[in-house]
Parts: sequence; C-alpha cells; structure tokens
Amino acid sequence: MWEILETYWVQLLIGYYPDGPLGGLAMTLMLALVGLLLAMPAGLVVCLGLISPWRPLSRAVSLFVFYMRSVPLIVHLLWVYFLLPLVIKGAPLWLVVLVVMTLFNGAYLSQTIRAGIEALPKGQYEAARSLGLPHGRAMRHVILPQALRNMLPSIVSQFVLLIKETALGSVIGLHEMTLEFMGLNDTLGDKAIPIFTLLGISYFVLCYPLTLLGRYLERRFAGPSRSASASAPAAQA
Amino acid sequence: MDALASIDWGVMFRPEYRSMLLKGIGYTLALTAGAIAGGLLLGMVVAFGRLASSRWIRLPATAYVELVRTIPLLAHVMFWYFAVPEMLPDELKRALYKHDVGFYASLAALILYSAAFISEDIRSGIRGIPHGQAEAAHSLGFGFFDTFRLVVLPQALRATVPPLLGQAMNITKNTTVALMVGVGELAFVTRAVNDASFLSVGVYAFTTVFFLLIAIVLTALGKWYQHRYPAR
Repeated sequence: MWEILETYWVQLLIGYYPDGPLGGLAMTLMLALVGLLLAMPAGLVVCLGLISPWRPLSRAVSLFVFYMRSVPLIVHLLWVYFLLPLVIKGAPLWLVVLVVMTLFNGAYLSQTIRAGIEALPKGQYEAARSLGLPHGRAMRHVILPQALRNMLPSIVSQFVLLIKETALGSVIGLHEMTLEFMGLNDTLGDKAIPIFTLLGISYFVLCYPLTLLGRYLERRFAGPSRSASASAPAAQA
Repeated sequence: MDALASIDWGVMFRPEYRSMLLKGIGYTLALTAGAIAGGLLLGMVVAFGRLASSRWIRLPATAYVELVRTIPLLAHVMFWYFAVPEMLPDELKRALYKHDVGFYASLAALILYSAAFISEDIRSGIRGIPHGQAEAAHSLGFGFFDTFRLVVLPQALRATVPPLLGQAMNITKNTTVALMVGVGELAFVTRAVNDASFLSVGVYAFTTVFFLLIAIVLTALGKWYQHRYPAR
C-alpha cells in the first residue's frame, strides 16, 4: 500500500500540474475552501430572504431552499454542467463544481444562520425595533453580529461536508482526489484493494481532525445560543 | 418565450426513452428500499452498541460511526465495487460476477453509510427518554425487553420518526452515486438519454421533478406524523 503512495504521491497531491491541469488533493481542498468562502455570503443572502418580513420574497426563497435540498447533488451538477457553458463560453469544470457548491451549501448554511438568529432572545429584535431601527439596520447592527459569532462550529462542520461533496466532481470528470485514485486503479490494474483503502484513509485523515475541531469549538462556544449548530439539518453526500 | 417553447418537455412520452427512464426509477426505488431496510436494521444494532454499558461494545460501535461518516459515499461505493470482490476466493468471485456487481456493491455501501447516520438518530431518540422511565418499569417488574418494547420505544419513536424520514430522503438522493459504478439508476439513465437525444432540459426536468415529488411526499408525511403524534 505504501509503495503506491511513495511512487504516485505527487500525482495524488496535485494531479499533472504544472504540465497539465491541477488535480488531486490540491483540487479537492481548493474547491472545498473556495466553495465555503462563497457559500457563506450566499447563505447569508438566502437567510435574509428567508426571514424577510415581505412574504412573497420569503416564500420564493424558501422554495429555492426546498428545491436545492430535495434534488441530489449529482442532478445539480448535470444541470449546471449543461447550463453554465450557455452563459460563460468554455466554462472550466472546476467552475461548474464551484457554482454548484456555492448554491447547494448556501441553501444549507441559510438554515444554519436562521437557526442561529432564532436562538437569540426575541427581545433583542424587538428592543432594536422599539429604539427606532428599521428591519434592515436591526438585523445588521443587533441580530447578525450576535448570531454569526456563534456559528464558527457549524462552519467547520460545513467545511467537512464540502470536502466530502467535492468527490462528486468526478461525475463530470473533474480531476479531484477521487478521480485521481480511480485513474491510478485503471493504470495499475490489479491494485484495487490498496488503492481504495488509501482513498478512504485519505478522506478520513483529512476530515476527522476537522470534525474533532468542530466538536471542540462547539463545547467552547456552548452557551445560550448553542442550538445554532445543533438544530440545523445537515447534508450528507 | 421562444426559447422555452422550443424545449422538448415530452422526452418521457417517447417510448424508447420512457422505458429507460422507468427502468431507472425502478433501480432507484430498489436501491432506496434496500438501503432503508438494511440501514434501519444495522442502524438499530449500532445504536444499541453505542448505548451499551460495556466499553468493548461501545468502542467498536463508536469507531464504526466515526469512520463511516467521515468518508464520502462515493469512496465507499468504489471500495465495495473495485476492492471487495478482489478479497473473495476465486469461485465466489466468479459466481458474483454472474450478477450485477455494481448494484450489490452500491447497495452494500448505501446500507453501511446510511446505518451510521440512522444509528445516531435512533441513539439520540432513546437518550431523550429520562432514565426514570426505565427504572420505573423495572421496579414494576418489567424485564429488559418488555421495558424497552412497552415503555422506552413508544416514547422514543415520536422523537425518532421525523429525522428518520429525513434520512429516507437523503438515502433516495444518495442512490444517484451508484451511477459511478454503472448501475442503471435514474441519474445514470438521465445521462444516457441526454447523450442519446440531446434533449437535456426535458430529461433533466423529468428527473428533477421525480426527486421533488419524493421530497414533497416525505415532507408531507413528516408534517402529518408530527401533527398526529406530537413530541412531548
């Protein structure tokens, strides 16, 4: 098992870069990290729509969230793989995956952010409104700073989910870590057992410390708004 | 509006594609049903393992949940499709390859993966029942199994069924991962019909609507259950 790692670690780490496209673990991590950075503001926007006092908007946004959560990630990938090149000529595969990651995780994060807001005492919003702040400024100056501070544990666990989800990029042929291992399996022929054991170990080594970090943060942040991360449903791809 | 009107929405009404898509739905439902049944069974065993008083039962059960949940489903499916058959003796392997290996590999991976999530829902449902309930039942003369069957389980179900319905939806969506090992489930045939017909929007819309319908049914079931058996 370790001979495979010794011989092919460069390919598994960065794909065929710099002679070819970036791939491997580097692609997986880059997609997950950038996806998370884009999904957070997306989730905030979606959440503000969800809790908007203007009913038609909150209805439409909650339909969007329902749609994103009901349809499998692979079907989202097929849609964006087909639609994105109509908007951006020659859109690269990583962009397709990034768009899907942003929308999909934005929808899930919006629920987490809303749970964080709902965990705050209702008096916070009422007090802000009675002091004369309109809805938008009550959100911006009073509610969100408190709600977002308690969200760090959930963001770490969302990052773990993103790392796992990027494996599906291989469905449309993006050279992230899983596809790199599959390619190695095709090349070597009879080494399926060590190769796919290594694939599992790689994801475990990558994700488990992050899971533990998330739990540690959750304990540290445990307080009146602990439910911010506890009550939000999680995806699992 | 012209663009919308030019889309062929009726892919599923063409006989050659309709039979493909219906077969795909058949495979998706078979995988879903198998994964729910197997996942519930194994999930219950793992949940009791995690609640056991002996650490020699508790530790392996915990390790199982932690390990399985941290690895993407796709990696599980790959492992069961490519690696596990290699571990079998030649005769068994030959017998296995007479069947649809992709289907059984995906099913095994789905069952093991779902069981890890289901066990957590069951465990937190059982843990939510105050210990005094079991103690009271014991002191009234109920045995271990009767205590569980008549006192703990009915109360735990109220808290467990809604998240389990969520798991059913996750499992339905997760079956699409089987397309990577060539199982002809809905996502696989969706791609195949698209490649054959180039009627992308029509096919994708069909598949999307199928999954939306499943989600609507399961959401409605969950609402009905919570209305009928409210958590106390």
